[in-house]
Amino acid sequence: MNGQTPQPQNGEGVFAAAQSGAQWALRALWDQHRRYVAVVLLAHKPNSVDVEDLLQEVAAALVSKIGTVREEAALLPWLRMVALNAARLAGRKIAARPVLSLDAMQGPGGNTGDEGQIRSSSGISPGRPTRAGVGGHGGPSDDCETRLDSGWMMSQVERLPDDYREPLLMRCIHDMSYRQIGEVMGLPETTVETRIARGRRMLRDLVSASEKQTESRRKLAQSPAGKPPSRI
Amino acid sequence: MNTSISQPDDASPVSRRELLISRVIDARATSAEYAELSEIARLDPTVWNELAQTQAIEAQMRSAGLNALDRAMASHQVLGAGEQKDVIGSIGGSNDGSIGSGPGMGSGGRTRWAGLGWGIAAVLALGMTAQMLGIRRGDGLSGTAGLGPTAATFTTPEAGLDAYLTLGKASGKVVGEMPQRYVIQSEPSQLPDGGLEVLYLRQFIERAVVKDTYRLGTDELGRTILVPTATPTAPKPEGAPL
Repeated sequence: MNGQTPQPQNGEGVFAAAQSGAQWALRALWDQHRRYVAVVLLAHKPNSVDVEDLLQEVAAALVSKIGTVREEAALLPWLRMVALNAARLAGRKIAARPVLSLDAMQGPGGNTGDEGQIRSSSGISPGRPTRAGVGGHGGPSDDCETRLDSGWMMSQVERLPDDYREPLLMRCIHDMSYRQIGEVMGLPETTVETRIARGRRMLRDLVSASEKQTESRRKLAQSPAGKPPSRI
Repeated sequence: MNTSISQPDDASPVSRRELLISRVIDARATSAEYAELSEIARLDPTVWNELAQTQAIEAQMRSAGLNALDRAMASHQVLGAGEQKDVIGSIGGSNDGSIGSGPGMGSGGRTRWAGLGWGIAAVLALGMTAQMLGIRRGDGLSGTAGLGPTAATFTTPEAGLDAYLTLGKASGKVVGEMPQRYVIQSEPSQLPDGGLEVLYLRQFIERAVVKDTYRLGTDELGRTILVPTATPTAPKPEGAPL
């Protein structure tokens, strides 16, 4: 902190100081809102991108463009839009990478050394945390270990439509009220409530379907017909 | 994002049952709404299962989301008063102010960044400063622009560095500069006009020919010693005289 500068405590003073370029104020604003930004990024980022990388980009935008925010009340919606754009841009960059078929890599020494650019012909990249019961990969023994895995749950959340995932995460992991969510998303409170209720229902359906798939696969694996033929 | 679920229309009414379950989870349900849910459950007891399952998923989602957030936040401690020593960001090798930390670089052995915002501010500041000062190859080199080391007088470090690169490449000693620069510390400047004071790392690749080579070995007492090895030579091309 730069102790040479007077630091007003009220939010309006901090915002104004940040707009005038005061570093302590920019830092205070970022400290105050970065977790919120991280939630927005978590809701919209591509699977293979880290939140912290995108946070860097939003922080850069805050430092360089806060002067364009007309008032403090507009800061959170503005930060959300910056975060959304960062996440979308990251998605476009990933989509623009050359997609190589895994089939072409199967030859001897076919490792390109750049796994991030390889996708299978099914469109699932190797880095994506597919689990048994979700993407159809992994054996039954894998399920028990990963069922309670955070990554598994987040992969289920990622399957929700964006419009439902974002308010649900804002509510669930950032404890924002319906009104606050509505303000930053530009939606009526009732719409927010509807989306959250629907999002919960969709997530429950996804998890149930996943469990059923897992169970049926387990049964198949345990049945004699499901066993691979033994070698003679 | 992998949106495998079709998106319902906002205008279509959400079922009362879904809404009540959601309100119970958010602790927003009134006593009348609890009673209403109980009445629904009297006719269809599966609603309790749905409520329990939704609550369990909510708890797992919260835990998973908080884990993800904590991981992201953990590497972004805000700079304290001089205590920050971590690598806090990386700077693109060019002087265009671009950030050398693209999203695709997020995984696999990269150093976690701390001091997020100020690392970025440092990146911007460095880039902008470089642009404003017009730092380019050769700028700041006054006097004779010849390559001879005694012919040039340098008014800026950049000019000296440029001469190092030019001479080094000409002689084969310098291969080039690594494209990324790493911010190792940043703190508010004590100068009257503010700014950030940034320490950052630049890396250059040099070439050398080594004739005395050694390998690590052990002596009869088991101590590690250096053992001279034969100087490696490039294989002769096919057809070359023996």
